[in-house]
Amino acid sequence: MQSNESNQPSNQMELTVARLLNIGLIVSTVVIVLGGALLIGEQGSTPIDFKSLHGEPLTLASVPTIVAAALTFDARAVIQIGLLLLVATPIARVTLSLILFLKRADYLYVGITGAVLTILIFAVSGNH
Amino acid sequence: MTISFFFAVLFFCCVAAGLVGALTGLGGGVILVPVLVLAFGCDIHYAAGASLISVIATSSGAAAAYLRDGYSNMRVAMFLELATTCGAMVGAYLSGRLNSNVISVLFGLILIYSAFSAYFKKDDVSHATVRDKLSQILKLEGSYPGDGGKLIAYYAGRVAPGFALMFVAGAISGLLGIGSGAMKVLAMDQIMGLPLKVSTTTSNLMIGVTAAASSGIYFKRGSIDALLAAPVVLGVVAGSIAGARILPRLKTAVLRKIFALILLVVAVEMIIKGFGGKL
Repeated sequence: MQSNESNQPSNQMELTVARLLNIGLIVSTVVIVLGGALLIGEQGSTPIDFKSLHGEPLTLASVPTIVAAALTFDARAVIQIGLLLLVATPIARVTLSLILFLKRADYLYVGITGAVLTILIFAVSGNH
Repeated sequence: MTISFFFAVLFFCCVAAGLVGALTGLGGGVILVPVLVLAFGCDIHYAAGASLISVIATSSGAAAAYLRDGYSNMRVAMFLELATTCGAMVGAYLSGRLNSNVISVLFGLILIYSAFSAYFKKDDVSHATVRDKLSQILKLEGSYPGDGGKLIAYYAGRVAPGFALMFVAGAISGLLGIGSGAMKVLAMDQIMGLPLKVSTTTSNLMIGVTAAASSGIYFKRGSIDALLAAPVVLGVVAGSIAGARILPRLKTAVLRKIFALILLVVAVEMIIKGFGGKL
């Protein structure tokens, strides 16, 4: 690497973020595979119509109810956990970036990253 | 048809969609949503919901690789994510208000745009840009490894129009359930004058965060169906991993042109569907 001094820590930062993204992707994929296997094991031979897909019942659209159902090994809820983990991965990336910008005392970007994080939290948790 | 069979069929279709998305550089969503809507008769709201999640998955995987190679610019990404996440929320909100037919027509129009941008895609040319004040204040600069590993320095210009276009890209992503990578690249490469390699890889990094903002709203609305999303996500991820492996050994220019023509046909189909088949 021919990077100069100012580039060195930023490269480190990128490697840390890359690692986080990979872990998030792998963990959520594994959970979705488990949920899918559970679903096929339980109801694999149940008939289904493509046009009957009308989304999740709203009981499975909030985090606490999904977690509660997943703990009873409800297949759909386990899949939803995996999907939520996938959505959480970029949000975790922004959070990690906030910490890394803070460590580098790049306060302008601490502010920008904080604003992005606020928007994300509002998008995920707010009532729209 | 049983659930097992449904999973298998959907999984393999999505492997194909992910593969084509990776090979053409258009991403999975642009192909995936029409396949779900036209071939599987799925409501476009649920197709978009499942697609959004798969877009997060492929973006995370690709972004990790590009970050390691030192192409993506984290500051440029973070600043522009202010615009894309706000846009994404507006798009996701609109998708809940608009009926499926309107969304289908809009999707068709975006597909036409994607087809043209894929057909006329240019190679890396450096754009002479004047560095504006905003770019200096925001430190929108960096360097990336060029041929032979030599670092090439660059900076961004025309920050305000680039930022505005990113808002539009975010809104389209949230409304249609696609990554809208083509428009993000357009904003960075053509408007802000960033090198193409930096633009495409930084766009990849931003796609995940953008899609996360809108999928939060899709989740709340119950538009993300586990039964649909599970095979879709797994298929697209498998397909795009395979695509990234064989990409260096293919002549993508020819592939992209053929694909652009197919995309035009699909665009017309989506528009006709939006008008209830009465065109």
